[in-house]
Amino acid sequence: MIRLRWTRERGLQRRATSGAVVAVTVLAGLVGAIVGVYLALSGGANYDLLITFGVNAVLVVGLQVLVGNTGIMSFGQMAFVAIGAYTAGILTTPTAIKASVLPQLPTIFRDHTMPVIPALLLAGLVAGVVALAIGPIFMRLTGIAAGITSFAFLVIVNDFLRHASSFTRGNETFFGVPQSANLPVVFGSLTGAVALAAIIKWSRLGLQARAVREDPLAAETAGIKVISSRVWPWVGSAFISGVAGALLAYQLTAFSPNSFYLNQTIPIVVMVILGGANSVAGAVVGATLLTAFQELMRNVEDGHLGPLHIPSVNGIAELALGVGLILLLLARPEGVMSSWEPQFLARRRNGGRPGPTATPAGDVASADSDAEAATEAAPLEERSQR
Amino acid sequence: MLEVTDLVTGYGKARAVDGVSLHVTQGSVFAVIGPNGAGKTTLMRAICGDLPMWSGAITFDGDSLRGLRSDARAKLGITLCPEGRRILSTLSVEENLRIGATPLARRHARSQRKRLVQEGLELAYERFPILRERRAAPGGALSGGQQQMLAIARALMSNPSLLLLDEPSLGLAPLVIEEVYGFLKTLRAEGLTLVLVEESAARALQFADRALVMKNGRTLLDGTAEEVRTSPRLSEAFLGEISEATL
Amino acid sequence: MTAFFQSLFDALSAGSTYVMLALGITLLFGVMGLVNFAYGDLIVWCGYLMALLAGWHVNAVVGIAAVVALATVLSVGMGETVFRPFRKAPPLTLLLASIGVSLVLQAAIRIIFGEGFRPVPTPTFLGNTVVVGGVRMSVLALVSLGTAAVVVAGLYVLLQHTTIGLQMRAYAEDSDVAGLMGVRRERILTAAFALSGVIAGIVAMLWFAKIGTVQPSGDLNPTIKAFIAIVIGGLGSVRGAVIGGLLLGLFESALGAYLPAGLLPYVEGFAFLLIILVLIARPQGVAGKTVELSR
Repeated sequence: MIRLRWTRERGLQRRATSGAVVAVTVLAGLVGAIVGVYLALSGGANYDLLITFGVNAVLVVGLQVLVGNTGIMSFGQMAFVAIGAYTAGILTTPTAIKASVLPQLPTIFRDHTMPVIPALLLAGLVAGVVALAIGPIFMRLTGIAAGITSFAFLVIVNDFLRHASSFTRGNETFFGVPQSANLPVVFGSLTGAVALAAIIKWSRLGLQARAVREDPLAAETAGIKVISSRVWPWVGSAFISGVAGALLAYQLTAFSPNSFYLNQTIPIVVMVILGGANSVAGAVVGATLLTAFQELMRNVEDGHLGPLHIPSVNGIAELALGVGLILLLLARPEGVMSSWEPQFLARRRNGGRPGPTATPAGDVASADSDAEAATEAAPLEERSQR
Repeated sequence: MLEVTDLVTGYGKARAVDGVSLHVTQGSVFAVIGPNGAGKTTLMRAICGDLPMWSGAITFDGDSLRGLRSDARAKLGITLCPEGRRILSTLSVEENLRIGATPLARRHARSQRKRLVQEGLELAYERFPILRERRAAPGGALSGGQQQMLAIARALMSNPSLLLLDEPSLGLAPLVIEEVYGFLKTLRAEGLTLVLVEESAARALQFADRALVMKNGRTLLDGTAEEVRTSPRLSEAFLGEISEATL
Repeated sequence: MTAFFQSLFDALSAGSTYVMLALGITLLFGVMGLVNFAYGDLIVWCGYLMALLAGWHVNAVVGIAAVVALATVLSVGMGETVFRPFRKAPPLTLLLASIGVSLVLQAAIRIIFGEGFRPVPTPTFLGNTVVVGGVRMSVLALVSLGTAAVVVAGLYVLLQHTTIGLQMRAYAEDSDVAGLMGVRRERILTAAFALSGVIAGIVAMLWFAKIGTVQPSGDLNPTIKAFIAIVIGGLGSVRGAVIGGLLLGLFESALGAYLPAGLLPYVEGFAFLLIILVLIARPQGVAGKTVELSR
């Protein structure tokens, strides 16, 4: 008999991979279904918002793959998003536009276009390959040094994009991308991203990466290579981010390097923390909550608070986000979901199958223990204090 | 001088000290002994304010220490010589000593501070010539025994009324331990009140006036050093209960 | 020969700003592990004050004092309110909290002053150039260099030869032991925030004298470069901050001078790239004392 349960990941106990992957993917699909129903019922009123939510969710899942598995908070995710966006943009923009706007583009790109979905996957792939190439460099650093260096990475890629004008139009707006960010594309991508995130999390790769995160020394003595264990979550994260970039390109249809910089990074980081850096489901939850919050703030800035009219002030959204972030870090740094994930688990029977369910008290999160509190309180860090 | 009543404290949800009481009279030496993990260091930390207490009371010269942080208690005259020395390795020997003088400076007017600290330094160098020799060396460059001397000298710079020493013999060669205890005898002769934490009972019990034996956060035995030393229950602290079966 | 001295001067004056920024940030990192992302916003606030003061025709000395005072008050303010509960938090959490503060400061500027540039007039004499022995030196660059030297020297004297400096160093190494030794910990933190603020105010004046305009979002690059400088130099070490800042200035000048023309637009990118290479070779930075895994 199969039951759906919410379980909290305790330490590094593995769960049945397939059960987890299926459950989390079903969750994403469910979200998409709810969205579709809502849309049908409301008659397309908040279409843009839903698309924004979907793209945000993919972005957050992408970041979560890195943070949840390696403990490294990277501020450079937007670099991969930008790479994905420009790749998809270059591949899908009609040749006529490319000929006039990007005359110096190599002919193979200028004279051909690709359909939307393959371009999306290719965008992810390009981002992933770049990540693979520079992975071994970044993955040597942890903690604050990694965070700071990831900023540098963002600036480098931004700089590069500004100057590679034959490919990107430099500082000017890159436009002409066909509007293809519809519900199936966006939520299909989200489902795929969630599935990939879950697979990485519960695979041997994810487990090794988290072992390194908990205790690098112990992991090394167990034979896990510290640097290479981090690379795959890093590449996976970049791939998903590249795909998100393509989605953004399809949604915005026009963008510049400035569209993928710090201002866009911060909300995604907040969403990851808000939802719970250790949980894939948390990523989706965080995206939901913050997108809703941002929409609310947008209305407030325009001067509407529900039925009330208030003076329209630019900057309130930013202020609220800043204050909210600080309060979040103070009150609940482990996020809404903490380490919880939904899973399908086979019920134990006498003489039943061996496996992860045989671990004691493994299923229902009941009694708290100090170890757990310690495991969850600092999702972003190595456990050691300064 | 120091009165601890039913102290309870710990880390997270774990109680490391579970209802311990003790009474230290001025000018005496009090020993706290027990095996690893008994809660001795936690007790010391609670007394000097490094760790907040959950319940119970600590009074010093009749005044309650509740709510006072470690730097405030240092100013009152309670100084801890911490477990493992905890010398500041990036500071020089002399700087370590100067930092130890902070509570002393706080007790006096600005005009007198410089002179008092200088006097304290001179005294420390007199007592421990090796420190004068290596005054400019970084704290981390000293040997274990020298660091212990430095730690004690540093603690003395504050001119304490109550000196807490957490495992002063830890990791030291027997000859060096003799030196350390010899020095502690001098301090006692000068009238300083000492509370000594040691894992190895023998030395401490020889030296102390009164003692407390801890196990698992609780008091197993207390009384005069003589009483504790000759008690049949002493080995219980370290070895567990002796039953018919094991005899 | 003159070419060499010219390059040296350019490198040093470029590095001087980075050195001061790096010092301001390292002070806080040393005592509590905080890489203050809002540091750049302190500078932006000063810029707006400078714009206002210029409009009110305030006396120069009063103006300087006011700018430094503002930066100090803001810095201590954020230290007392926001960062107080985070005193023992891990560095990454602190960085994120400082991002929150940065958002708040930026938003406040937007709300009060609105978007768009404001001019910050530069005293004209700073724009002059002096030529000594064939080396062209702008007065501003000289002032920058001189100020940085004073700041470095001043900080050195403060940390090595004063009581509060000693207490700060002790606290930075082991805050618990410092407390046991009678050091009042809140005072140390306040002092660190205050010093950091003073340096921010000084940098702001030099910065806006050079740039001439200010806007709410400020320029991210100097802040990031300061972060990079302290990482290359070695996190938490004052000496590291100075070395890192100088190295960064050196990298940039050298690249600017010797990079082939076609690659010149990518100067900044290359500078960052070189930094990353330094970090591969030596993750703890040039003068670093902490192994990267423990912070």
